[in-house]
Amino acid sequence: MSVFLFLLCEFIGSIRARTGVLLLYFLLLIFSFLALFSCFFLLGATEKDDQLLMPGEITLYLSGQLSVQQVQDLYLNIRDMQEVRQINYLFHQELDKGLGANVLLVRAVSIDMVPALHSALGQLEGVARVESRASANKTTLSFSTALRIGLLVGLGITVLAGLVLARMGFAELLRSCTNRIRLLRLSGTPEQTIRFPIAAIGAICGLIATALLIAIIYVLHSFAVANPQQFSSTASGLIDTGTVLMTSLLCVPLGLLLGSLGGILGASLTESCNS
Amino acid sequence: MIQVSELHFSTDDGFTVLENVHLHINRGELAFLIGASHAGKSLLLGLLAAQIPSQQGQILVCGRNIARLNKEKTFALRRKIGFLPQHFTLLPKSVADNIIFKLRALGNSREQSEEQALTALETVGLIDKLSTPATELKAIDQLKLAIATSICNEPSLLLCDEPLGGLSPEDKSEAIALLERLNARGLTILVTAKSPLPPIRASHRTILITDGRIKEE
Repeated sequence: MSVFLFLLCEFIGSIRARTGVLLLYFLLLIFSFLALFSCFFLLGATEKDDQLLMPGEITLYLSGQLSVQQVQDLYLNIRDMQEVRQINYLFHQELDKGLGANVLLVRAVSIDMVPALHSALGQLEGVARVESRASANKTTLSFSTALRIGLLVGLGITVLAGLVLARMGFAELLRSCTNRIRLLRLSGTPEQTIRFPIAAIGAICGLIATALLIAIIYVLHSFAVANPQQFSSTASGLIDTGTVLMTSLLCVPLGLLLGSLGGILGASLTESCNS
Repeated sequence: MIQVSELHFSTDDGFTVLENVHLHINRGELAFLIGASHAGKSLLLGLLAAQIPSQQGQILVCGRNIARLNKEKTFALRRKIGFLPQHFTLLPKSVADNIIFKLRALGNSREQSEEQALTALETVGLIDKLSTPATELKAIDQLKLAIATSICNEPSLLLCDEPLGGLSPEDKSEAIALLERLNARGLTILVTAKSPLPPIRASHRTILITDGRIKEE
């Protein structure tokens, strides 16, 4: 084990209840910062465009030559499919485009099933055309300016509060490690060797906060994918796998940076541990 | 081993703590620096141990001019010096783990550290108290552990700042006997103490320091 890892374990082992609580608050503030940051990408409603469809929906344009009975048979046939959650017959008045054909609106059980269902429905006899959307609109409505300002203020507050708590937490940790640091200095351990493990504790806090946030984002993402209608008006970014992945990837360096900043701030306090 | 000439040291407010100090300690010597409180003993030891930056004068320790050392070389020199400060504090660990902590922090492996710790504890006579928590030791045993921690990485010089303070007369004699044993193995030792000093061999030097000046050798 290197000196770095040895000292890291020693310093982590010196964490007592009060230090632990302060570092936990620091971790939670990093988590809050990342959560607020993620809101910029994940929140927001799907932009209304000229399409009738919401993510996970499929529109079937039936041949105009089908009889009422044939339309009903087709309706029942599709309704019994495993991939189908819901099926509705759209009346002419509901169609913006004023189409005269029979139109069925099918909702898939999940977005993942849309491509397969699209292909299966397209092969049915009497279906003239199939339209579907498996993903949310790429463009999302910007949420209100007030919310945007609120998020920015929240980001600033969490960063400041996080750094203040990191300072308090690391000062407490250094108090409980004073004798160790004193012995290290007497025996000729370079100052950097003492500081690196302390800074690393901050980075670890950042990484734990990031991992926690990413786990929660992915749980919400899987829930949003299964229930796209509920999320498309408030958090359409959660439905899109690409957006979720990008947000998660952005959170990693941010969490690490904020944690390391707190750690470096704490490491700079070793000056006060004079023998 | 130690060569000090024209050493001056003043506090920020201009109070002179050490004035024109000349000191020479040969390799393999055991010397006692005797003086009252605030005579400048601890400061002189801190300067010799490269723990306090010098201001004026020349300090040669182990052939190195302390004033000219960069940070890296200062750390390297500190590793050659066993320094026992006046109010040493032991870690809330077992006797063996106190020494192992220092050795591992210096980059030794676990096995190597355990081996060196056993050797150091055997030297000071604490081998039978390996697993005892350091805080539960008697005062003389705590001093022995502190000395063992200072010498565990085999330094060539041991500087002890008032190690006899707070010990009973019997314990003081035992501590001096231990220092003499270490000196007999070839370790150069400089010890500060307040007078009166318990009986020591005539071959050991005593140096008096008064108000920051070496008065008598």
